[in-house]
Amino acid sequence: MYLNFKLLSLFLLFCTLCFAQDKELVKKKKINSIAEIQLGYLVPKAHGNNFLSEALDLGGGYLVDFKLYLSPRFYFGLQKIYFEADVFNQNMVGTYNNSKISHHYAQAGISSFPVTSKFNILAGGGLGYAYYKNFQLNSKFSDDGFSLMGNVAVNYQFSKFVGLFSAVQLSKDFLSIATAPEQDKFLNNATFSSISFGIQFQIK
Amino acid sequence: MKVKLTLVLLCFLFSCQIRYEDNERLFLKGKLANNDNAAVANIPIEIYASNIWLNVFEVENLNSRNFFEDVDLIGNGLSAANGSYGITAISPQGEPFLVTYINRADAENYNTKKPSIVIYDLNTIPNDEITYNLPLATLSDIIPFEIRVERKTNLTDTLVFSASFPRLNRILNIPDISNQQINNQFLNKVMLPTTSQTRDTLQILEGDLLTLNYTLKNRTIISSGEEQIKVSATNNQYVFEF
Repeated sequence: MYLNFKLLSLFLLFCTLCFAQDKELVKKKKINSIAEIQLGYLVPKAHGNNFLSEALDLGGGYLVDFKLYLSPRFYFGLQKIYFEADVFNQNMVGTYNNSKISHHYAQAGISSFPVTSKFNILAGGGLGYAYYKNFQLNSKFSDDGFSLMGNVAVNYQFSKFVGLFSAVQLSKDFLSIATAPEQDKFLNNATFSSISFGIQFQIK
Repeated sequence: MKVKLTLVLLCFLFSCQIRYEDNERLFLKGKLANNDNAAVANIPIEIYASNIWLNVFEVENLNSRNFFEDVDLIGNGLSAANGSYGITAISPQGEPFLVTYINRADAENYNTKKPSIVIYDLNTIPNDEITYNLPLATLSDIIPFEIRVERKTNLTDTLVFSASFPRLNRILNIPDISNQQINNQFLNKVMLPTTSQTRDTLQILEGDLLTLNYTLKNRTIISSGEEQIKVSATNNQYVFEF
């Protein structure tokens, strides 16, 4: 409860700062829309008591992120993350060998400084589609469902077009696997965090 | 060359590769106990699926299946400390032939002191297409049973001696599990007057009945008899003297 209150306070402070700076900037100059494309390497880690953490060994993947700023601080966009996993505990999930896991999100968020700043901190969230393609020896099948995510990112723009970014993201999947009631929560809920870093391009 | 090519094409034509349902997992649960109804833990349990019907011999020899048959391991696990098990399995499309193989000889964690049991043709179990409640499987201990025959007083007659006992591995037929398929194994011995002693060790399940038959011959049958022994950890030896 105390932790939630602290998080809420920090979030409100962040929003207040953003709004304050946004008003100031609008007075100074008008910004046209800016697009930001990020390409990065992603390291996922599963959490909790679910199939993703108890039965799958997650490997590295990649992130492709597109943000469109229609105002200096508010963005919306699309994100794709992809990684692969090996099944190390078939007892818990059935006899298949590995999975290719992708997530597609529609996202929106806010930056602490105007998008034209060299250094920036961003916070955002998104909802989307989780897709697990599973491979058995001779055959393949898939699981899918709904996914939510929240993230915090920092970036540094070292030239007009190119910069670097790093982000921490938490995702929660709600899959739609039909199974016995005693297995439902374990197989249908998955939580994972990811750290990503890479290069970003700004198109003004 | 043409014949080989035709054969290969035929193989592909008749091979029945199993496809799997998206967004679906089967759950198979049951319990293992010994003949005293005590829980049997850490026994490997495997679930196999095939698109074609398999006979008992094929099920018992899943590793040596022929090329045309496609049999997949779809789920596996171990029994818990209380003997219960719950196996999550990927879900084959259509109406595949399903079997549960308990303590298969080549399985990981195979327990050499317990028999193998096949629960045959799970498709006949009433289920909601997701959850299968499997019948109790009894896995008694394998007891080494020694039979010793010694010639003490009779130095002229020939002894024909046989022992029959249920084979270790069992098939549970679903849904009538009382209709267990138990085939007998036999030990047959002929002891000529020149032989003074024989000794054999049989592998029999605790609680099983061993039936012993003997016939003493000397041109004609002099005497014969039968005896039944219930095998247990303490009752694991039989000495026949004549």
